[in-house]
Amino acid sequence: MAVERQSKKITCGYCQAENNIPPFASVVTCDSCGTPNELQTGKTFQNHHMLNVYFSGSELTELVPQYLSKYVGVPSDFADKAVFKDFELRMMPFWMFQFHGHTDYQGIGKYVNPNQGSHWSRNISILTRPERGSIDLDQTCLIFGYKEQHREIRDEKIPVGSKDAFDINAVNREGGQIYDTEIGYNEAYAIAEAQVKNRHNQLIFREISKLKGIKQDIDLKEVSYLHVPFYRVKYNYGNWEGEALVDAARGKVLRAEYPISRAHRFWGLVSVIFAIALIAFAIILIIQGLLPFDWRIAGYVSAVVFGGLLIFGLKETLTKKKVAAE
Amino acid sequence: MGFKPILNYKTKLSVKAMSEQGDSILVKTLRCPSCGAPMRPSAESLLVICNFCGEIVAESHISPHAIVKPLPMTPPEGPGQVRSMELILVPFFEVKADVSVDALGYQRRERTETKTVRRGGKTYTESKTIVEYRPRRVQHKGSHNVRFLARQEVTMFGSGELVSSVARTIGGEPIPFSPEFIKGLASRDQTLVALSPEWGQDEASKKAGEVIYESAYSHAKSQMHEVFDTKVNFRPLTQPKLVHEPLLLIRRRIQGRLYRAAYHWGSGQLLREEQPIKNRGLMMFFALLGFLLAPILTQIGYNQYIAFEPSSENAIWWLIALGVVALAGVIVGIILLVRVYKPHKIHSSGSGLSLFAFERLAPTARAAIPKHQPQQPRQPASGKPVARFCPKCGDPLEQNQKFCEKCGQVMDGR
Repeated sequence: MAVERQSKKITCGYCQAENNIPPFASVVTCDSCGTPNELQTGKTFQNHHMLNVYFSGSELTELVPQYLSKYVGVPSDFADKAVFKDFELRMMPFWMFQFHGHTDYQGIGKYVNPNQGSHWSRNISILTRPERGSIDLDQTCLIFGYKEQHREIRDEKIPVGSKDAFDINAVNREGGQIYDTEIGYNEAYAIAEAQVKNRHNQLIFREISKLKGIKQDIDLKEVSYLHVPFYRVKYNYGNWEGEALVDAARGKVLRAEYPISRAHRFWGLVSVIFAIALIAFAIILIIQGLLPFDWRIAGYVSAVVFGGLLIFGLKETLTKKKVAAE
Repeated sequence: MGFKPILNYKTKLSVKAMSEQGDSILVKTLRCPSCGAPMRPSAESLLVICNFCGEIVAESHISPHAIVKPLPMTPPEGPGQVRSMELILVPFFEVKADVSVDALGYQRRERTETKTVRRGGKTYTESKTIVEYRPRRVQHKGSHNVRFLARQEVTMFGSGELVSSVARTIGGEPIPFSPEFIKGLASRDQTLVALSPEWGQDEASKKAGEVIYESAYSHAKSQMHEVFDTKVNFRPLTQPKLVHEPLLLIRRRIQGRLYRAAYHWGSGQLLREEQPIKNRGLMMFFALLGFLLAPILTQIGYNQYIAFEPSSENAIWWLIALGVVALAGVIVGIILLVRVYKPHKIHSSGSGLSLFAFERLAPTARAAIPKHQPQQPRQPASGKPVARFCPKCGDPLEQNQKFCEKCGQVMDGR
């Protein structure tokens, strides 16, 4: 594999096709054969998988308005009048590691004498004793390929069991755009390994309170560079523009923007007028003079409560776009 | 550092694998029985559709394997109009096992002691908080039917409730797996998805032990302030059995809006449902009423306070009582306002799972389980070796081929 940093091009180590290097990428997936090439080491990865696209763009034109129809403030004719204009299928990168971890540990564990009796007392004798043990676990870790960007995808639960061999033809057929990871293999491996160690440590400290010695063997069983499909959809409702992010493998709407109807904003305006009237009345109570008795406390409380309602009403009146997220 | 484990996780969670069938799940028959064309394997589904002739192939390499018979695809009762129905067969493993749990720790409680004292002719009430402890041991011994998801994750609507309900025995009529039955379902319902298990039977025994350990630990943790030791002995009595449970996902149109619902379609039990929020206008009215009453009540309380002598106990109680009612009015108003803005409310059958949720085996049922005989790997009926295909790309392989010619995948000798 030859990397030409000046022209930002890379030659695929498998098929020799020339590919552009996107900014910040540490792996480049070849547009021609779909082989991932790591920039730092020059290696190609054999284990490259993807989740299949089960939802087409046309299905999203029903799915997204259906999902949004329940939200308060969505115009009643949104499903009929929304015009979907742009479907961008993004294949987002993940590293998937499967580990077999074995840990031998020794330390000091706590215990109580269960024969102490079942009565409540102000003191309890917690004793300590040396303990040893071992942990044997298989674990799968999924590391998202971006550090800061695309945060809405980072915490998604991905059903990795459904992964299939990566098929560049299938991606091209669906018009998918491949996004490559900015986290390199070594960095992702270190993060995943730390996750496995943390899990082992969590199990160890369920049993002991002080660690004296530990020996860990974390063996990598399988690694895969995984691409998961997501749609970024853009739609119009009159002059209003919004977008949604949908998991293309499961049809789950992660995040969708929706317009606020005029009727809803009118009621927001009504609550603003109502709140202003009550705040004005509260001021009168505070200044007194107009009433024969002292209602200042009620005036202060009203000013605070309806001040909150005023802010809420203003927000509802002025907001033209909201975000629905599951 | 030489270790000789004397008290280890394996002993605490001792699992003995019952199956010697190996990773039979990975061996896939990938030739269309109708036209002989190679078929691409799917890690996702039991069903593979031939690209050449459209034949549906459903094959299982795990034995025993059962399917809980789905009910007829008639819409379940409920409000609104059903717009779409989707049937998903979700794989579970079922392991009959002897389980013993011994968890040790202690409980902690706080109680308040109140006493009346007289000082300088005046009466005071003194209270102090006392913290108390006692040792606690959770012991459990019994035989269970441990059912757990045969995949790391399923994320569809109602999946959490399905996992928990299946562990508790949800009902339905299990029938032995047959490709014809699945094909019949697939041809009846075009949207049928039959998910494959992610593990073989050996791994399933180990996973069952992990599931029991976690549920035992969380049960002990719910009983104690601190848990020191959780010893779990898990002894499988039978080979893991694969059971596909039917999950029905529906979308209903109610008042022009779409709501989802998930049913266990073997028993017809509702698992999770989105319901419309009714009486939004009424809730808004009561929210405003709460906001309006708060200042008035506070003022009345204050007026009562100054009407009495300032040091009088009655005066303070008036102030506190009406102040609390006023605050409650504001809080209820805010809660109602938040509810008005929710897209729907959720009705759930519950998704928690504790150790005692797993079905107990009756002593007679436990005694009826025959001693397990390790099973030999299944051989094809013809006696010929099983056809080999690359697990990565599905390319057909010769019997002794060590690398896939298409994608370079290294074969592990199967």
